Amino acid sequence: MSKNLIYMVAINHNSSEYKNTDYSQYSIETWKYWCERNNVDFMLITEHDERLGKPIWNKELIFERAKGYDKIGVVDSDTMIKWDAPNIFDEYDDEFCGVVDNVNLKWVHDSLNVYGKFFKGVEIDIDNYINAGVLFFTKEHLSLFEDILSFYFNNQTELDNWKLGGGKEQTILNYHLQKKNFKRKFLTPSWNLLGIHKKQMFKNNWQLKEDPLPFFVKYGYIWHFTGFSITDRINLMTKTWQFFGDRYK
Amino acid sequence: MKNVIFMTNIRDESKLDRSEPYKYSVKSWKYWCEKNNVEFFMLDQYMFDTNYMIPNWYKLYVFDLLDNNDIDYNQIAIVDADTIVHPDCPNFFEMSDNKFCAVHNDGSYDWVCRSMENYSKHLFNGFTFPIWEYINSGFIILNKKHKKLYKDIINFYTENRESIVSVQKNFGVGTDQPIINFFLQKQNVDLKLLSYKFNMQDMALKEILTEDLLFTKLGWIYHYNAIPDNHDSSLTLYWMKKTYEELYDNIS
Repeated sequence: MSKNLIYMVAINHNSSEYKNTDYSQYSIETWKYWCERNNVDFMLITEHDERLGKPIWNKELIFERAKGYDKIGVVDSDTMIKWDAPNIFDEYDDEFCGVVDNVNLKWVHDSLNVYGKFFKGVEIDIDNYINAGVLFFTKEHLSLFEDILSFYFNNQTELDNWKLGGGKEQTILNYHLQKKNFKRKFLTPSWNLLGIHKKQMFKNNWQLKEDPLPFFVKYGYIWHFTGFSITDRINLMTKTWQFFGDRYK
Repeated sequence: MKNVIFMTNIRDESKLDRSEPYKYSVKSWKYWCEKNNVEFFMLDQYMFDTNYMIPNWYKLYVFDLLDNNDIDYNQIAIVDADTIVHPDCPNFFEMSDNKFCAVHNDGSYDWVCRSMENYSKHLFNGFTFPIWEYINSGFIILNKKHKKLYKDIINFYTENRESIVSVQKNFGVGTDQPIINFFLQKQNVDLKLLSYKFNMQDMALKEILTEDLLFTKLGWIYHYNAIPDNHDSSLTLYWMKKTYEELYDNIS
């Protein structure tokens, strides 16, 4: 058993018209390769815990599943890691690490507003609001996820039927994180490249003919295929695998 | 000794529409300066024939201009004329730690990456640096320690003017901004990156350039760049006027 763990939830579930495996198959391949190369354990969760509504809440169960590990990463199944990305576990000590999510600040602002009713008196600065799709931390932080799961169970009916927008667990995680007041480390966007389409990083430098590599591959370590439709996600992750899959062998 | 806000705002008689919105920038910065006991200095005259140097570069002469006008100073903030400052913006000079400060250029990375790569290849012999440290030059804080840096950039321009103009013309990925970035990195300048709140670029992309002026609730310095479908700068005028009237009409 390694000291470090990557944890991913990738569940096909009847709450979605799409099969998670339509895109997560590529994510899993990249993470498996990277974990093996870096001597990191990879825990893939494909079975839904029936106590929970949507599959996303299975992420919180990490607090009981990751016992025994020193450092842990939670990654969404719509991410792919670059074949030669450095070992992220060497890049931090005891901090809770994430990437600031400021791709759509209106969404962030609205989400903080709608979920704020559960967290009266807790203020989150937009400079500290992180994306929950890629998180790195230590065993000392596992209680955070236990707290979030308790919060979920305490408000399950409302959260399972949530119609106010603002995402599912991300803003709730940010509020809990703020309450916990952990020492933080904000990683560069390379470690969770969000809004790739809005950043226009699917493009390449067409002005320098010698380098056809798209910018997201060149400058990102973890590519997060989010912010667009699931059909687009499937297409883009499939294409990315078709182009670069051979690098993982 | 005072701190100084420096702005280049030259009225281009051939593109009057383009200059029109900048009066709101000037008024907002003048107000902020008065409130914070800061001197406002505006360059409104051409320094060179535009065939030799376009006004984008004039900010590099900030030290000479202040010296020649007998203005002594502690720190300087160079601000673009397409910015508006919130009247309650904190005094950012107190956050600088006496370092060179700026905000990361967070917008179109297609532009940033091409800018870095093209300038790297054609002017800096392949030298490169992390894109996440590439700054937007629309808001910069500096001080006397940085005189030599700016002198070096001016000398570089003088010595490589034709190549620089050629890269500008052929690739369209920036004028002074990429060069400043390369010099910051090549000279290992102690750079402090400030929050996006102090140079809120590409607000349309971040979906906060909205009729309720959401951006005014999220930060302090609004940079009206990269507005889609902005023909004849009409949208720059629309948003800068609207912002100014919302923030200043009741206090000016």
